[in-house]
Amino acid sequence: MDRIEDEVRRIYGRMVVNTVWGHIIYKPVEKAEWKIPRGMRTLEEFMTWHREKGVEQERTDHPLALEIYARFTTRKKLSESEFASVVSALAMEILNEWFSDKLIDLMEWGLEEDYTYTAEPLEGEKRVSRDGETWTIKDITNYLRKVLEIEYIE
Amino acid sequence: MNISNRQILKLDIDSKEIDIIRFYIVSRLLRMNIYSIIKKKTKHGYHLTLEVSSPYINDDRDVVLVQCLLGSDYKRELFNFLRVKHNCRRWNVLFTKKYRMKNGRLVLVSKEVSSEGKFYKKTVGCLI
Repeated sequence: MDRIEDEVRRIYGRMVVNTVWGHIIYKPVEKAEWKIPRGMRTLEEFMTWHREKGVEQERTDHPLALEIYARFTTRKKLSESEFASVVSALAMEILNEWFSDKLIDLMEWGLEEDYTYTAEPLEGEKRVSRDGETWTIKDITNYLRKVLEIEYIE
Repeated sequence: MNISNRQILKLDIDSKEIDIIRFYIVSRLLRMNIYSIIKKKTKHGYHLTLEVSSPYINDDRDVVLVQCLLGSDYKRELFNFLRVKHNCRRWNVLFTKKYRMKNGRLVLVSKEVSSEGKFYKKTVGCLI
Protein backbone atom coordinates (compact mmCIF):
# COMPACT_ATOMS: atom_id res chain seq x y z
CA MET A 1 0.00 0.00 0.00
CA ASP A 2 2.84 2.33 0.87
CA ARG A 3 4.40 1.73 -2.51
CA ILE A 4 1.17 2.74 -4.27
CA GLU A 5 0.86 5.83 -2.09
CA ASP A 6 4.46 6.78 -2.83
CA GLU A 7 3.88 6.34 -6.55
CA VAL A 8 0.70 8.47 -6.49
CA ARG A 9 2.57 11.15 -4.55
CA ARG A 10 5.41 10.98 -7.07
CA ILE A 11 3.08 11.49 -10.01
CA TYR A 12 0.58 13.99 -8.62
CA GLY A 13 2.31 15.59 -5.65
CA ARG A 14 5.35 16.99 -7.38
CA MET A 15 5.63 20.76 -7.10
CA VAL A 16 8.03 23.26 -8.62
CA VAL A 17 10.20 25.55 -6.54
CA ASN A 18 10.81 28.58 -8.74
CA THR A 19 13.56 31.07 -8.08
CA VAL A 20 13.37 34.15 -10.27
CA TRP A 21 16.68 36.01 -10.26
CA GLY A 22 17.71 39.35 -11.57
CA HIS A 23 21.29 40.48 -11.47
CA ILE A 24 23.48 43.04 -13.07
CA ILE A 25 26.14 41.71 -15.37
CA TYR A 26 29.61 43.15 -15.21
CA LYS A 27 30.89 43.45 -18.74
CA PRO A 28 34.37 44.86 -19.15
CA VAL A 29 35.35 46.24 -22.56
CA GLU A 30 36.72 43.51 -24.81
CA LYS A 31 39.35 45.56 -26.60
CA ALA A 32 41.17 48.46 -24.94
CA GLU A 33 41.94 51.29 -27.33
CA TRP A 34 44.25 53.09 -24.94
CA LYS A 35 47.33 52.26 -22.93
CA ILE A 36 47.09 51.77 -19.21
CA PRO A 37 49.54 54.22 -17.58
CA ARG A 38 52.43 52.85 -15.60
CA GLY A 39 52.65 52.89 -11.83
CA MET A 40 49.15 51.72 -11.10
CA ARG A 41 49.16 49.47 -8.07
CA THR A 42 45.63 49.16 -6.75
CA LEU A 43 42.27 48.30 -8.23
CA GLU A 44 40.91 51.60 -6.89
CA GLU A 45 43.56 53.58 -8.83
CA PHE A 46 42.63 51.67 -11.95
CA MET A 47 38.89 52.17 -11.45
CA THR A 48 39.34 55.93 -10.87
CA TRP A 49 41.46 56.23 -14.01
CA HIS A 50 38.96 54.12 -15.92
CA ARG A 51 36.10 56.39 -14.89
CA GLU A 52 38.07 59.55 -15.73
CA LYS A 53 38.64 58.12 -19.20
CA GLY A 54 34.87 58.12 -19.56
CA VAL A 55 34.64 54.53 -20.65
CA GLU A 56 31.81 53.70 -18.34
CA GLN A 57 29.68 56.81 -18.93
CA GLU A 58 26.47 54.86 -19.20
CA ARG A 59 27.18 52.93 -16.05
CA THR A 60 28.71 55.67 -13.85
CA ASP A 61 26.43 55.43 -10.86
CA HIS A 62 25.39 51.84 -10.98
CA PRO A 63 26.41 49.51 -8.18
CA LEU A 64 29.18 46.96 -8.65
CA ALA A 65 26.80 44.20 -7.65
CA LEU A 66 23.02 44.23 -7.58
CA GLU A 67 20.84 41.19 -7.39
CA ILE A 68 17.32 40.42 -6.43
CA TYR A 69 15.37 37.18 -6.21
CA ALA A 70 12.00 35.71 -5.36
CA ARG A 71 11.60 32.05 -4.41
CA PHE A 72 8.21 30.38 -4.27
CA THR A 73 6.49 27.05 -4.87
CA THR A 74 3.84 26.43 -7.54
CA ARG A 75 1.88 23.38 -8.67
CA LYS A 76 2.97 23.75 -12.28
CA LYS A 77 5.87 25.30 -14.15
CA LEU A 78 5.64 29.06 -14.63
CA SER A 79 4.29 30.29 -17.94
CA GLU A 80 6.07 33.09 -19.82
CA SER A 81 3.49 35.66 -18.72
CA GLU A 82 3.68 34.57 -15.07
CA PHE A 83 7.47 34.81 -15.21
CA ALA A 84 7.19 38.29 -16.72
CA SER A 85 4.82 39.39 -13.95
CA VAL A 86 7.31 38.27 -11.27
CA VAL A 87 10.12 40.08 -13.11
CA SER A 88 8.09 43.29 -13.25
CA ALA A 89 7.38 43.03 -9.49
CA LEU A 90 11.12 42.65 -8.83
CA ALA A 91 11.98 45.46 -11.25
CA MET A 92 9.50 47.71 -9.46
CA GLU A 93 11.27 47.03 -6.17
CA ILE A 94 14.54 48.16 -7.75
CA LEU A 95 12.93 51.33 -9.08
CA ASN A 96 11.34 52.00 -5.68
CA GLU A 97 14.84 52.19 -4.24
CA TRP A 98 15.70 55.06 -6.62
CA PHE A 99 17.89 53.10 -8.96
CA SER A 100 17.90 54.25 -12.58
CA ASP A 101 15.51 52.51 -14.97
CA LYS A 102 18.48 51.94 -17.31
CA LEU A 103 19.69 49.39 -14.79
CA ILE A 104 16.76 47.11 -15.59
CA ASP A 105 17.97 46.87 -19.21
CA LEU A 106 21.50 46.06 -18.07
CA MET A 107 20.31 43.21 -15.88
CA GLU A 108 20.06 39.55 -16.68
CA TRP A 109 16.90 37.73 -15.57
CA GLY A 110 16.85 34.02 -14.94
CA LEU A 111 14.59 31.25 -13.74
CA GLU A 112 15.81 28.33 -11.67
CA GLU A 113 13.48 25.35 -11.25
CA ASP A 114 13.75 22.66 -8.58
CA TYR A 115 11.25 19.92 -7.82
CA THR A 116 9.83 19.10 -4.41
CA TYR A 117 7.02 17.25 -2.63
CA THR A 118 6.76 19.74 0.24
CA ALA A 119 6.06 23.41 -0.43
CA GLU A 120 8.71 25.93 0.53
CA PRO A 121 7.66 29.28 1.99
CA LEU A 122 7.89 32.44 -0.12
CA GLU A 123 11.12 34.34 0.27
CA GLY A 124 13.00 37.13 -1.43
CA GLU A 125 16.09 39.25 -1.00
CA LYS A 126 17.78 42.22 -2.57
CA ARG A 127 21.54 42.59 -2.36
CA VAL A 128 23.49 45.70 -3.31
CA SER A 129 27.18 46.46 -3.16
CA ARG A 130 28.84 49.57 -4.54
CA ASP A 131 32.42 48.57 -3.76
CA GLY A 132 32.36 44.79 -3.43
CA GLU A 133 33.35 45.14 0.22
CA THR A 134 30.15 46.15 1.97
CA TRP A 135 26.89 44.50 1.00
CA THR A 136 23.41 45.67 1.89
CA ILE A 137 20.97 42.79 2.11
CA LYS A 138 17.25 43.55 2.35
CA ASP A 139 14.51 40.99 2.92
CA ILE A 140 11.69 41.66 0.44
CA THR A 141 9.41 38.75 1.39
CA ASN A 142 6.63 40.99 2.73
CA TYR A 143 6.79 43.21 -0.35
CA LEU A 144 6.48 40.12 -2.57
CA ARG A 145 3.53 38.84 -0.53
CA LYS A 146 1.67 42.04 -1.39
CA VAL A 147 2.53 42.36 -5.05
CA LEU A 148 2.91 38.85 -6.51
CA GLU A 149 0.01 38.15 -8.83
CA ILE A 150 0.56 34.44 -9.28
CA GLU A 151 -0.79 31.52 -7.28
CA TYR A 152 1.89 30.11 -5.02
CA ILE A 153 1.76 27.53 -2.24
CA GLU A 154 3.24 28.02 1.23
CA MET B 1 35.24 14.54 9.31
CA ASN B 2 31.67 13.72 8.33
CA ILE B 3 31.73 11.30 5.41
CA SER B 4 28.00 10.72 5.01
CA ASN B 5 27.16 14.42 4.59
CA ARG B 6 25.72 14.78 1.08
CA GLN B 7 26.13 18.02 -0.84
CA ILE B 8 24.71 19.31 -4.10
CA LEU B 9 27.26 20.64 -6.57
CA LYS B 10 26.05 22.76 -9.49
CA LEU B 11 28.46 23.18 -12.35
CA ASP B 12 28.25 25.50 -15.33
CA ILE B 13 30.67 24.12 -17.90
CA ASP B 14 31.22 26.40 -20.90
CA SER B 15 32.69 23.80 -23.19
CA LYS B 16 31.23 21.17 -25.48
CA GLU B 17 33.54 18.50 -24.04
CA ILE B 18 33.56 17.51 -20.39
CA ASP B 19 37.03 16.89 -18.98
CA ILE B 20 36.59 13.36 -17.62
CA ILE B 21 40.22 13.15 -16.41
CA ARG B 22 39.72 16.29 -14.36
CA PHE B 23 36.59 14.76 -12.79
CA TYR B 24 38.46 11.56 -12.10
CA ILE B 25 41.45 13.24 -10.41
CA VAL B 26 39.39 15.63 -8.28
CA SER B 27 36.87 13.01 -7.17
CA ARG B 28 39.58 10.44 -6.45
CA LEU B 29 41.79 12.75 -4.39
CA LEU B 30 38.87 14.26 -2.49
CA ARG B 31 37.47 10.77 -1.86
CA MET B 32 34.20 11.86 -3.41
CA ASN B 33 31.20 9.54 -3.76
CA ILE B 34 28.86 10.56 -6.55
CA TYR B 35 25.23 9.52 -5.95
CA SER B 36 23.51 11.17 -8.87
CA ILE B 37 24.31 13.28 -11.90
CA ILE B 38 21.87 15.40 -13.88
CA LYS B 39 23.26 16.73 -17.12
CA LYS B 40 21.52 19.44 -19.14
CA LYS B 41 22.76 20.86 -22.41
CA THR B 42 23.04 24.65 -22.76
CA LYS B 43 24.00 27.09 -25.52
CA HIS B 44 27.73 27.07 -24.64
CA GLY B 45 28.16 23.73 -22.90
CA TYR B 46 26.54 21.89 -20.01
CA HIS B 47 24.88 22.34 -16.65
CA LEU B 48 25.66 19.51 -14.26
CA THR B 49 24.01 18.88 -10.91
CA LEU B 50 25.83 16.32 -8.78
CA GLU B 51 24.87 14.84 -5.45
CA VAL B 52 28.11 13.96 -3.72
CA SER B 53 29.66 13.24 -0.38
CA SER B 54 33.28 13.79 0.54
CA PRO B 55 35.13 14.19 3.84
CA TYR B 56 36.66 17.35 2.37
CA ILE B 57 33.39 19.12 1.53
CA ASN B 58 32.00 20.43 4.80
CA ASP B 59 30.67 23.92 4.22
CA ASP B 60 29.60 26.31 1.47
CA ARG B 61 33.13 27.56 0.79
CA ASP B 62 34.29 24.00 0.16
CA VAL B 63 31.40 23.56 -2.28
CA VAL B 64 32.46 26.69 -4.22
CA LEU B 65 36.07 25.52 -4.32
CA VAL B 66 35.18 22.03 -5.56
CA GLN B 67 32.82 23.44 -8.18
CA CYS B 68 35.69 25.59 -9.40
CA LEU B 69 38.11 22.63 -9.36
CA LEU B 70 35.68 20.58 -11.43
CA GLY B 71 35.78 23.22 -14.16
CA SER B 72 32.73 25.37 -13.49
CA ASP B 73 32.78 28.88 -14.99
CA TYR B 74 35.23 30.95 -12.92
CA LYS B 75 33.11 34.13 -12.98
CA ARG B 76 30.12 32.24 -11.60
CA GLU B 77 32.24 30.74 -8.84
CA LEU B 78 33.77 34.13 -8.03
CA PHE B 79 30.29 35.58 -7.46
CA ASN B 80 29.27 32.48 -5.52
CA PHE B 81 32.33 32.92 -3.32
CA LEU B 82 31.42 36.57 -2.63
CA ARG B 83 27.83 35.57 -1.84
CA VAL B 84 29.01 32.88 0.60
CA LYS B 85 31.54 35.25 2.17
CA HIS B 86 28.80 37.80 2.82
CA ASN B 87 26.46 35.17 4.31
CA CYS B 88 23.82 35.34 1.58
CA ARG B 89 20.98 32.83 1.98
CA ARG B 90 20.69 31.63 -1.63
CA TRP B 91 23.94 31.59 -3.51
CA ASN B 92 24.34 28.55 -5.79
CA VAL B 93 22.51 29.71 -8.91
CA LEU B 94 22.07 27.73 -12.13
CA PHE B 95 19.48 29.13 -14.50
CA THR B 96 17.03 26.89 -16.32
CA LYS B 97 16.15 29.83 -18.57
CA LYS B 98 17.95 33.13 -19.05
CA TYR B 99 16.43 36.38 -20.33
CA ARG B 100 17.62 39.89 -21.21
CA MET B 101 15.57 43.05 -21.58
CA LYS B 102 15.32 44.47 -25.09
CA ASN B 103 13.14 47.52 -25.70
CA GLY B 104 11.22 46.84 -22.52
CA ARG B 105 10.56 43.18 -23.44
CA LEU B 106 12.02 40.04 -21.99
CA VAL B 107 13.91 38.09 -24.63
CA LEU B 108 14.95 34.46 -24.05
CA VAL B 109 18.74 34.25 -24.36
CA SER B 110 19.36 30.63 -23.46
CA LYS B 111 17.76 27.61 -21.84
CA GLU B 112 18.65 24.16 -20.58
CA VAL B 113 17.85 21.13 -22.69
CA SER B 114 17.72 17.65 -21.15
CA SER B 115 20.14 15.20 -22.64
CA GLU B 116 20.81 11.50 -22.40
CA GLY B 117 22.87 9.94 -19.62
CA LYS B 118 26.02 9.14 -21.62
CA PHE B 119 28.21 11.23 -19.34
CA TYR B 120 26.74 9.55 -16.23
CA LYS B 121 27.73 6.13 -17.55
CA LYS B 122 31.22 7.30 -18.49
CA THR B 123 31.94 9.07 -15.19
CA VAL B 124 30.47 6.50 -12.89
CA GLY B 125 32.23 3.86 -14.98
CA CYS B 126 35.61 5.44 -14.41
CA LEU B 127 34.94 5.97 -10.70
CA ILE B 128 34.08 2.32 -10.19
